[in-house]
Amino acid sequence: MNNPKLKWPSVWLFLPIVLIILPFFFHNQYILQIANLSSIYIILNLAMHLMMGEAGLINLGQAGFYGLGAYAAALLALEFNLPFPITFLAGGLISAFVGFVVALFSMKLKGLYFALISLSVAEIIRIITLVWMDVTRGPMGLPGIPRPKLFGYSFPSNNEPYFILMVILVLITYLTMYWIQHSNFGLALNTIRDSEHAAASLGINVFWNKTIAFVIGCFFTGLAGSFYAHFFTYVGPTFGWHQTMLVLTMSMLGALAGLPGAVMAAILLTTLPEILRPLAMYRQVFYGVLLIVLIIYGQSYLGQRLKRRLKVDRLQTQDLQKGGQNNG
Amino acid sequence: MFIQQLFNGIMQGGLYALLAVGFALLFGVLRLINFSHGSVFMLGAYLTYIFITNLHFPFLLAGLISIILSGFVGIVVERISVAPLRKRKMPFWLGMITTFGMALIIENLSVTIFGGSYRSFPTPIKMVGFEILGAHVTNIQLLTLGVAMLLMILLVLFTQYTWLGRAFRAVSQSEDTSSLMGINANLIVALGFFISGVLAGSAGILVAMYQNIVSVNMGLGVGLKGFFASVMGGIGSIPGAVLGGFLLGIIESLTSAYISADLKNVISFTALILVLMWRPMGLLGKEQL
Repeated sequence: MNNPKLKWPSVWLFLPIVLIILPFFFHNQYILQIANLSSIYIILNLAMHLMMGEAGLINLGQAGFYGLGAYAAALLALEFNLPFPITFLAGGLISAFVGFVVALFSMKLKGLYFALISLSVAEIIRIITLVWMDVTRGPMGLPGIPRPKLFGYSFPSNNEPYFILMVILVLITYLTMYWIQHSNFGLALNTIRDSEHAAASLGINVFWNKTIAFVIGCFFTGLAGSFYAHFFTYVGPTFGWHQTMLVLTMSMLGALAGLPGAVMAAILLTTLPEILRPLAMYRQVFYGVLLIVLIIYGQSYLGQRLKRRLKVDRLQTQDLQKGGQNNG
Repeated sequence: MFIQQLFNGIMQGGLYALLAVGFALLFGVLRLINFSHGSVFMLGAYLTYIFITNLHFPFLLAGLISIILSGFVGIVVERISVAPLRKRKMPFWLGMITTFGMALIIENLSVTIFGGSYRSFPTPIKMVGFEILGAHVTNIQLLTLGVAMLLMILLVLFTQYTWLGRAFRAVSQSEDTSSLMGINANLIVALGFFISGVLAGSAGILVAMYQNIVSVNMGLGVGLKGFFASVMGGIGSIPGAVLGGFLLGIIESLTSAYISADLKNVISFTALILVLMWRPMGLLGKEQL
């Protein structure tokens, strides 16, 4: 903690906060619903930022852990009638535990191979949710998940209370990530990302640092999942790799401007499909175009402009780009 | 029973191998995972269907045109989603996202144009069944397997024994050095996408013939399967991709026969994880990434 880099979150922290608070001023359920969905993606993207941006782990299986959290919370609430705080945390913890097991046998593998294992694990989780009819009801999914109940207050079906809960959760995630980024642990992760050999020669335990980063990422991913379950009161086997690609894109975009960037990219990519709704049939096509344009031009052109403007950490974008290749 | 399942596995494996080779080809040259492969696969089958039923082309002509068109779709994918990355010297694994964007575009445009329903594919040959070694086999299955094998052999001959194939391998070893030797790397990359598009399109037509059905969604899971097959065999290695494809097909058909059809994907992914832990470079791959 005696790290000179650790200072109070900068002014740029407040821009995302303003964006998060903003929906309160519209008493519009639709906007609040989108805001809640955005908040879920903010958490997913912050977790992805920790794994990919800080530790250089290309995680193609995030959707699996997201689904795991959602299903765990849903099943605990439905089958065992456990109260909300417990199911909510359990979603994250179970996800983290599975992440830990996966990390134990896959963390020794480099860059792209780790990505492939995470992708296979996610697919296995998705298929299990699809075919284990007795427990998950397969393609029919699990409806009727109880709404949250906190300190005797049970949440109504409108979106405001959820949103307050969500803002708190986003802030907790954000501050955790901020703290990690500026702690010695974060520095160790960055070193590992840049060169595992150099990190090992400096006495950093590559295996455990990567594992811990992955487990923390999985924990927050699982939390996002259990919130999803309690918010939509329904889970189905929809957590495919399309989901991961979406968060991966957010993460690549957000890498331009650190943590605030991660928040803004998540908001942008969740709101855009809603704005594109009038395009009806062509919405997905346009979204595909957007992915390509954002990755190609967002990364190169906008990245240079923004970096100069925001004066974010000089290395951030370059390092993230190197993430996949320079692991050996 | 066992021989029947083994044959089914080899049959399915031949198609996976054909798809896996397309992945291996591009990964070998570009270190790129092309997620639009499954969409080109679907397009090959669907275009053939359109040419036959709406334009009344004879089957061979329709197939040939759609295969060539699939190749050009491959080039379009390269121009839009990969060339800009290459020009800016951006890391190629970003290509996963941009080619995924292309897959979204191709698939959803197809849904809006063709509609999402399943259609029966007009296979030109009458199905005849006979027995080999106690396994029930149809002539269409044999034809499909034969064509898949032929295409893979042609590809190996092309990369090993032709002038262009040599240029191809040179670029995959070092783009900069081969450029200095007067090879137009951009052209070679475009050629790679053309060939992989042709392979994907042909695989699509074969699957449509075999299953007698085409739909806009047929490429969704299959693309990923081909990718996994190529990883299992050693990503970037063409013989490895063939081996991985057959292995995956056989594992799947044996699990669905003896354990559970629902679990076939779980078992095959577990097999992939085990293979990667045992040999991270894949079964026949040489380099560690």
